[in-house]
Amino acid sequence: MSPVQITPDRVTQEMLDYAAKLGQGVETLSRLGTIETGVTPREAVYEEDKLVLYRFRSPREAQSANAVPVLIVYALVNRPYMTDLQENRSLVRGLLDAGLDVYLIDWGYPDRADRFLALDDYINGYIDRCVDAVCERLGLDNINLLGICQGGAFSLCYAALHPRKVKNLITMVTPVDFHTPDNVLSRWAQQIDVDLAVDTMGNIPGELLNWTFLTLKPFRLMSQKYVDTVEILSDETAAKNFMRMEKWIFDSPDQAGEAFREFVKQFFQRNDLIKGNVRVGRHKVKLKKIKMPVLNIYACEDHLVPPAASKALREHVGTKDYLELEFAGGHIGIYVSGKAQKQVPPAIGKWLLDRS
Amino acid sequence: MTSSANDQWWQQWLQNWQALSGGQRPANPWAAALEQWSRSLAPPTPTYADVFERLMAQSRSFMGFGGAMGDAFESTAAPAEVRDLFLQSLEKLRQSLDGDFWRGSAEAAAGGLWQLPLQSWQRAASTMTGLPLELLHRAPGDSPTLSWAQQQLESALATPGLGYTREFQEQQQKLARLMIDYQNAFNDYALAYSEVGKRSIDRFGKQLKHREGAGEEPIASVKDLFNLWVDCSEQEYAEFVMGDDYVRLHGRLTNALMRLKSQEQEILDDRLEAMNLPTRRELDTLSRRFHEMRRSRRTLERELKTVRENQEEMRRQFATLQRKSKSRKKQKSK
Repeated sequence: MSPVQITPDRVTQEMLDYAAKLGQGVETLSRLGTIETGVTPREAVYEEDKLVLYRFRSPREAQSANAVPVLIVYALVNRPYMTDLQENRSLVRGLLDAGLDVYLIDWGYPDRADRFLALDDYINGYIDRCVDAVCERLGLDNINLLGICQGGAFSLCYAALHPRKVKNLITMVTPVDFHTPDNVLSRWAQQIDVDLAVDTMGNIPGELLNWTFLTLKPFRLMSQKYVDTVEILSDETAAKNFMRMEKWIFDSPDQAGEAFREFVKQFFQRNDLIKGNVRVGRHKVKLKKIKMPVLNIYACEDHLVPPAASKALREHVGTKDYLELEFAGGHIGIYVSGKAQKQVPPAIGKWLLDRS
Repeated sequence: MTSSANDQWWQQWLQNWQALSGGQRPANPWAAALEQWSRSLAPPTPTYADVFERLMAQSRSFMGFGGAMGDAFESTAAPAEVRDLFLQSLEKLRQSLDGDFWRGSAEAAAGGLWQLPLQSWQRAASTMTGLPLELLHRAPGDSPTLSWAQQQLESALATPGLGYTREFQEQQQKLARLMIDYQNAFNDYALAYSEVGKRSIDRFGKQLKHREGAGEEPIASVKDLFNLWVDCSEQEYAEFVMGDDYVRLHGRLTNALMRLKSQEQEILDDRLEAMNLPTRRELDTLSRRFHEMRRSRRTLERELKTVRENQEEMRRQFATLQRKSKSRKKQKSK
């Protein structure tokens, strides 16, 4: 049988259908209005520079089953509203429903005034003061920390440097071993003169990082995705979901220069985290000092942080209470897919409750 | 499948690829209509302008692909050696990835897809420098004749700096050299994309032949064929970008852009200084000092807090000792 059987009539019909759907899609887009993200009610409980620490309020006004809150530390790249994208796609909402009191650090958009912020400022400064603010608010000595992606790497550093302030540590899609053979970003970073880039640009433009992420799978992410989307754009709900995701993907803050320099050189280029050589200010990060319980969640189809890069954590932490949770999906699906809503937040809630 | 049916398929397929390969392609009514239509539309709201643009660009690319398919299947030419001609048509498709394919129309079936990462780089790079990077790009594999822009730059470099403005001239010459370095880095980068794009066409052809041999369900829609083309491109690309050559090209391109930007900034700073205006260098120095002061203040605050806590603890201990001492005295006095 021939591998292609496309008739001229079929081509014509397909193109006509596509054009009709595209027309409907454009009409739908014109009706959408403002796209809201970050849907769960929240209040700012601490602010410093461009950082805001939020506490989320459960829409059901449910009493938290766990007295110890969880603080979400998101990555510096992209915006943290990915964790609370919409009502039915919200890690935050899921954690609230699992009986947790949820806090989140929003790093804001660094500008040239933030160019000299270093990892020390982020980890021993901002994160530490946010932890203190939550502890002070609730009269606690320690809290639960949930780090996502680069925020997970920051959380590992923080937990190693301030172990008494972290009761339980959860890492999600977090790179630990940056030199696994399938780590594309790490390969690309090897020949970049980071000193030259930071000395020249000051802050690293979000657009440059965005280009990097899109070129991991350029044909799917820059072309096929849009062609596929035309199929569903006539549905207003689907169009809104698509637009929310588009907004998030292209909402890329610039990166504070010094922190970027330190992160790329120490983590990506030298793989210092697993060698115990990462320096944050005057302190060296030793993952063996992480003795509190650790839940490490990774996505088996993650194209940004390969599973092996996350799973390496088991070999390097000092805790005996270490658990891995594999999610069958990708780096983004772990927050927003329907499957993730059913699996990930309840698993975190139960794991924390068992250790409360 | 009968021999005549097989020949018929290969004939159609050949015509399809000949149409896609560029040179003989008739005007594409689908993509042209979409282009016309999208121009008449305003983006839904300014917020969505970028998304609208991306959606339209990729729709044009897809309809260009579909339109070319339609034209090809309508053709009635009957080649004698279908398979040989099919290979030739693939060769023509490869040729569509020659030269400055990355600047071509998004409707070009092969170039349209493979130009995306390069055009996206162009946009990102253009936001980082005030220099007209677009002018610097000549097609990889072009004739040895350099583009007008490069000729100008090279002649500027051949002139030694003289007189009172010698330093200024040397700065400009350094800038020109860095522009050429960047141009060469970009051209090598684009050339590598062109080569890998061509390999993806081979992969595409092999996959179709494999389907035929394996007796798999035939591809019956343009969308499915487009998806297979995307899959083949992603697979070839994934192998390419993990290799040492790509890592070197990527690093060279990024570093060349940064060196160019750095020199541009240095020249700009010198001009600002001459006009008695604040420079980037000065602002960075101030920013660094300010940041160091903030750090010192934070450290002092932490130390002060510790001292206060220790003081409070000592006060508590002293009060406890005082109470105990008083109590002992009372007991003694009784």
